[in-house]
Amino acid sequence: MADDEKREQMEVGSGDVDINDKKPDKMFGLKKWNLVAMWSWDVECDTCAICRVQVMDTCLRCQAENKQQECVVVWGECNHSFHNCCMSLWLKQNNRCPLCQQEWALQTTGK
Amino acid sequence: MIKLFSLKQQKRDGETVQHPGTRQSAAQLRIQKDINELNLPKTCQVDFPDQDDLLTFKLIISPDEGFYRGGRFSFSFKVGQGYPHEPPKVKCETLVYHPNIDLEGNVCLNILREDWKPVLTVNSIVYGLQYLFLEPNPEDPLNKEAAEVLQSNRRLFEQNVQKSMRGGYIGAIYFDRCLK
Repeated sequence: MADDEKREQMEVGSGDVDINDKKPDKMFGLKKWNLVAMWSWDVECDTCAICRVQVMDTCLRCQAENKQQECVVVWGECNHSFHNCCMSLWLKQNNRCPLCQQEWALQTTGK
Repeated sequence: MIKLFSLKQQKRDGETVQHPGTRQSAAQLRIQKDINELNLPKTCQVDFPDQDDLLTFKLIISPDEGFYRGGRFSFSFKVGQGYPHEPPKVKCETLVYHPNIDLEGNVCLNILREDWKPVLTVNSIVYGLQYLFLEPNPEDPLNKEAAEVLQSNRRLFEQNVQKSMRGGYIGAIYFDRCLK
């Protein structure tokens, strides 16, 4: 990943930070730090509850039929996410989120 | 930092190594996950007559409380290619005196019919069936006689259940012994 090597370095001289001039010597000076960023999808679950595969992987049906490309993810207003393949089959029967029973409203589609 | 994508790739490679040869259908892959994650209560066990066919299996329920305590009831599961978009077909193979199970073994459980959702699993059905033995539901019955008795006279219902599990006639129907 691109973030891999992203490191911020900062040198902080003892004089720069010290607003209070009365203390002449600091016991510790910050010489450098490394920033580490964590990320996760803004969804309650990262597994498609219908086929039980992580949403970023292709769904079971596409795995079985070897169709890797067309398998996109759909996020509902309720923040539940599913594979589009899985969800569209369910929506033929019932227009509610199978997890929370809210009326299904598409928030975003993505890969 | 962890290389997420390469980890995922490794995992995927590992999975494919597990099932060499024939490609499995979506229903087979999903049922495999269900079975791997199966968390059975101590009163239940599953039995696969053919280890290579995960789509056909039996569930044995031996209730340890309630009206049916001490009995042993066998259910057959047939998982179709539409799974998980269609529920498995579940039949009771033990003749049982129960308001929600008829004499042909049809089971009246909402999640096996109108309330089935693809997010449910085999585990959900196991718990649903176990619940039927703990709380038989006289409303919406399949065996109307049993339901009427349960509603009008709980004691008599209890006696009938005991009699049927020991092996005997309830009305004109003979029930085979199914006590452990």
